[in-house]
Amino acid sequence: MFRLLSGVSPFWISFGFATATFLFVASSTVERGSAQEVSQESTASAETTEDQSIQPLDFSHHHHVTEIGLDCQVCHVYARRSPVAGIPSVQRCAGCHEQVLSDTPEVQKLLEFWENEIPIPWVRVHDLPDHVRFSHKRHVLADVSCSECHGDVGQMTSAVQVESLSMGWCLNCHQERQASRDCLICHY
Amino acid sequence: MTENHKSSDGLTETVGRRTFLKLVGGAAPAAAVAACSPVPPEQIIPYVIPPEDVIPGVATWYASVCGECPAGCGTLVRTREGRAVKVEGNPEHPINRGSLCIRGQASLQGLYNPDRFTGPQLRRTTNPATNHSVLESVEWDEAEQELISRIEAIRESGQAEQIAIVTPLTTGALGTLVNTWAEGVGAKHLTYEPFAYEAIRAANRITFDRNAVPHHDFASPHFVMSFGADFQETWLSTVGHTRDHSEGRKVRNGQKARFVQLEPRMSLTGANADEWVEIRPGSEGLLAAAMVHTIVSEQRVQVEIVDEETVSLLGQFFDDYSPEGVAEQTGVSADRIRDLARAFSNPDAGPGQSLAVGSGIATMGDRATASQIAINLLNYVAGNIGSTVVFGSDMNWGEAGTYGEMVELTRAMKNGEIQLLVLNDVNPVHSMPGEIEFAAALKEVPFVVSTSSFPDETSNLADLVLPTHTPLERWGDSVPIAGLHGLMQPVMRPIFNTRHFGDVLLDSARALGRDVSAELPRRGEFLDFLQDRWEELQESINARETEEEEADLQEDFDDFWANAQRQGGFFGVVETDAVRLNPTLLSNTLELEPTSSDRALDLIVYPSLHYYDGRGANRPWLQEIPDPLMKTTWASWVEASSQTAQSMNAQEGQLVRLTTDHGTVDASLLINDQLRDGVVAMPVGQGHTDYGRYADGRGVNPLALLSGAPEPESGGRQWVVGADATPLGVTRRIPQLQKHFDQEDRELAQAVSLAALAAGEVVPEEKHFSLSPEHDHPVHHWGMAIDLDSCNGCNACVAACYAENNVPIVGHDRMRQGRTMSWLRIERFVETHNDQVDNRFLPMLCQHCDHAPCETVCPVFATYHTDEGLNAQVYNRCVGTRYCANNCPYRVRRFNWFQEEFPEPMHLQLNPDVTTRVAGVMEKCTFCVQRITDGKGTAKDENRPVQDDDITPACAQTCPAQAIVFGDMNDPESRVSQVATDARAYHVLGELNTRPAVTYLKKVTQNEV
Repeated sequence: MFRLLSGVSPFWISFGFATATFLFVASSTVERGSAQEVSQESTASAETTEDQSIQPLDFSHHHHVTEIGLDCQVCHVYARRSPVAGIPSVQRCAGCHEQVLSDTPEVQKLLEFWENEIPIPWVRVHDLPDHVRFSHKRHVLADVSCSECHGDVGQMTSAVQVESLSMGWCLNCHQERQASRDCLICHY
Repeated sequence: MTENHKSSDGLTETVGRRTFLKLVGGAAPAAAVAACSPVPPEQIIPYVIPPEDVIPGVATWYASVCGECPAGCGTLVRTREGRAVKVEGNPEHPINRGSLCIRGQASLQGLYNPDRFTGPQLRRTTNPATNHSVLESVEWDEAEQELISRIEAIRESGQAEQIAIVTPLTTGALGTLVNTWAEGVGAKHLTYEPFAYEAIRAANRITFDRNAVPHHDFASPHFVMSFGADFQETWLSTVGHTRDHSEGRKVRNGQKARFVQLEPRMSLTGANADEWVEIRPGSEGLLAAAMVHTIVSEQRVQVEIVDEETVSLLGQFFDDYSPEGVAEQTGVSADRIRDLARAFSNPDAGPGQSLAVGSGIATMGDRATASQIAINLLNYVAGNIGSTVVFGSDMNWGEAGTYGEMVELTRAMKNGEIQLLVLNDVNPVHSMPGEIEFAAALKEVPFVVSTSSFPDETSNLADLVLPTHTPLERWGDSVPIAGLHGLMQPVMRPIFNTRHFGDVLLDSARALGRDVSAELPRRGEFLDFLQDRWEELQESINARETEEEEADLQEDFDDFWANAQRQGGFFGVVETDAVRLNPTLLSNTLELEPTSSDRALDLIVYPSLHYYDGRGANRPWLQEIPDPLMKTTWASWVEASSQTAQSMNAQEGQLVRLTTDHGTVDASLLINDQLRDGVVAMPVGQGHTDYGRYADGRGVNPLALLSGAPEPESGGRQWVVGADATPLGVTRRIPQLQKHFDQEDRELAQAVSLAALAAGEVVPEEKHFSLSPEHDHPVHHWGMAIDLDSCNGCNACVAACYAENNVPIVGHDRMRQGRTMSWLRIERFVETHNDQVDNRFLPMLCQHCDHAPCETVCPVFATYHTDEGLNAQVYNRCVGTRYCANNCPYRVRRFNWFQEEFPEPMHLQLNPDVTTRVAGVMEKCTFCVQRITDGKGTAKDENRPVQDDDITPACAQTCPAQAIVFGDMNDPESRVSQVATDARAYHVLGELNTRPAVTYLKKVTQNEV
């Protein structure tokens, strides 16, 4: 695809400046598209500063992953089987915590959710635009480790976004691993 | 950023497209950036307790039964995160074998209809002085208690027989429960189907002593004659018949089974016939009789066990119906009748090699039963009874009530003989002839209960509404053919506060006391009742197996039940019954001549492939998808031939007033030259006034014109009536997506004659030289092949595409401007050779051209050619220049001029695997790229190459005629590669050298092209 593009790039330069005015005025979608990328990158850098208050519970990945040694897929159970990795069900959390550390304040909060049968309203940290179709399953089965996209979650309390998750960032990796870079792989 | 654009061969771009756009974007006005502030953070909600059979992001499939008509096709319903997103045919179900019709595809829009009842309602008088009342929401307990106390009061006064319950044709456990309930209460029970085929049952009773609808085999006969039976649209079991017939009509050894349709108006079924014979309305019986006359007099009778006496009796019976004698009344020449008769019963081919079917809705006049008797005898003399017409494995239609019973009920209601009426999922106010005045009769009933899912003309007049689940939300079963038990299971939780009709019956029977519920279980829900019936079924199977040598006993009920759930039911086979001719029949006489009317024209009211009897009118896909023949949308109309229109001095689009002895309606005129002169025709199904936002105000209800009197022999309806037409001074054009059916010599839909095909004289497609470089397709090259000889234009694929790809509807007004968003449409072209009409249906979708004209003109690289041969459309790149659509010679690209909306809860149907497009972007067929991705993933998981069955686009999946094949053209073994080598293969507009990935196979005609 990019071989094709490089072939047409002179066209881009000549065509581009002739119709630049048209694109500014008539097509806000272009602006929206590029603006989205800019804002995505800026929010990504903002989110690298840890802000634990956004989550309803003070959950520590560091404790569960590094201190106890749980694998990511113990809780994010669907990652190997489905496009979505899955947030652990309240039942799964309570399954351990009804016995373990059940008297600490945060676990008390958790058990309150469980007893009232209310799902925990976690705030999404890694959010791709709606026109992107990403499959955890395909990446996990291709031996891409979780940390390549999510960072070293084992050292975080609340998860934070460390990579930009922009299209260029995705394509870099696809290029390095010689995975397909066809648009239809992610956009349909 | 330039670093990222290093291509694999090491070249570096100086200014790439993205960089260019970034530069442009950076200079954009600040206001535009501000308008696109970051979206607020989303929440991510886990399950409290995860369901066992659900993996988020992965589809769960449930086998069930389609509830859109009584044909009982098996379905597989795809659900995502607990909501149904797509209905497909169940490949294991013997009736439809994986296919589904347009109505089945649209069943999702019944489930998610935004106008459904959201809970029980009770009528309360708001102003006693004016007798004004409204339906108000109540709790289920109160609503059911109201029903129970009303029934109790009537029973205490000893007038239980003044309670009536009307259901549609309901087989299986629910049918048993309704019967038991009605018997316990002492109420009348009627099963009401507007299309009940009374004439077939009555004729079989008279001819063969069997009050049943037999199985018709469309797959094996070499000659099928249909006397107006639209078996590819609504007649009995359309998907099954279409599957069989399409299989049976494939060209084999240079031969193709012949198919003749006789009817005054060419139906879609007739449009697929080799010969369409335009006979006078109501004269089917005369023609069949003349054929029997010819067969008997020419000694071509082929019944094996028949004595000389019977043959001579047959001769006497049809003595008055010589071909010459009926030529004038039928409008068919005597020679042609003889030719048809000789082909129908051909001793060279042997007995039982042909099939005649009759009693299509549109042809049922005042001689419907007599005509069907003549058709029965035609099958009899050709030796077809027991061969292509098989009794034993009878269809469920034998259990339907008759129209006459409903007329009798209406009379009783008017006379105040009915005190309480329960109406379950029927809409007689709309579907009974206007002359019957069912609405007025309802007002005479003190208490009317409706258990419908939808507000409609009938349920809006009810005093109590107890809304039931739609078929996709409920348990049930269906026995469409004796021995074949389909199991209906809920595919999702009920959307609204509805209750299973069976549970309402069980609750009320128990509350009414032991004398009512004596035959019912003391506790348990309808599901338990259903399981009890299936346990009995299992026992009966085991009992039968034990008698046989090799017993295959099904010991454990849980296994039996789980297996039925998985496979969609239990599909047993019933032995065929031999029937013999009723000896008294031939000593009577047959009155076949239709009564003539004083009116200038004959009106026929024909059933609708989309709306069936009118119940489909509130499904927007069915309104939006153009009528298969007239290509009209969101409307109803009156059809007349050019000559008839001229004689009534009316233009197309002009409002015409039709007057019969029974009523008057005004409708826009549509010219249809596949309609006999002197006949006008109207489709049934529209003209709703109270059936939700999609149905209301669309056209008129032609049932207002029909006679209310049942046909005396069968108690069936008469759909043919004398009429006068007067043009009015108003013109109201109907939205029509294809305004004429002439190919203008462009040879879009091509055909080849059978003789030329057999002789190997098919003109091959011209190959063109191209200056453009060829695309490389290293791994896969997806392609499709569509057989125009099989395609019958039924629109099922179009509805499947709407469902799978989140294609929005645009509505009546924008349709009138010629807009549509469909990714797949069926074009119809009509050719005429030697007075024989040749209809060709051409499914048109993105051709995924190798040299695509759209790709070269996209300024932003939003459309391009993939390595797998797909013409990709990247929505998030598209800026909406529409250059591509203007450059596409196939007109298959669709632009989103507006932001389309999916009113709640319709949005729950959206396929989460496909992006919903926004205003300003172009869209088109993707070859269901989401299914390609999914299929490749499956093959990868199993560590094997992609096979044919891994990927089936929605259109190919549902096709009742199996006309569409999809696969990898790089694989020489794939079906699509095999089909593409067929001599009939060609490409639409091949001379443009666009190199499409869609190959069409020419239609095969019996006559010269």
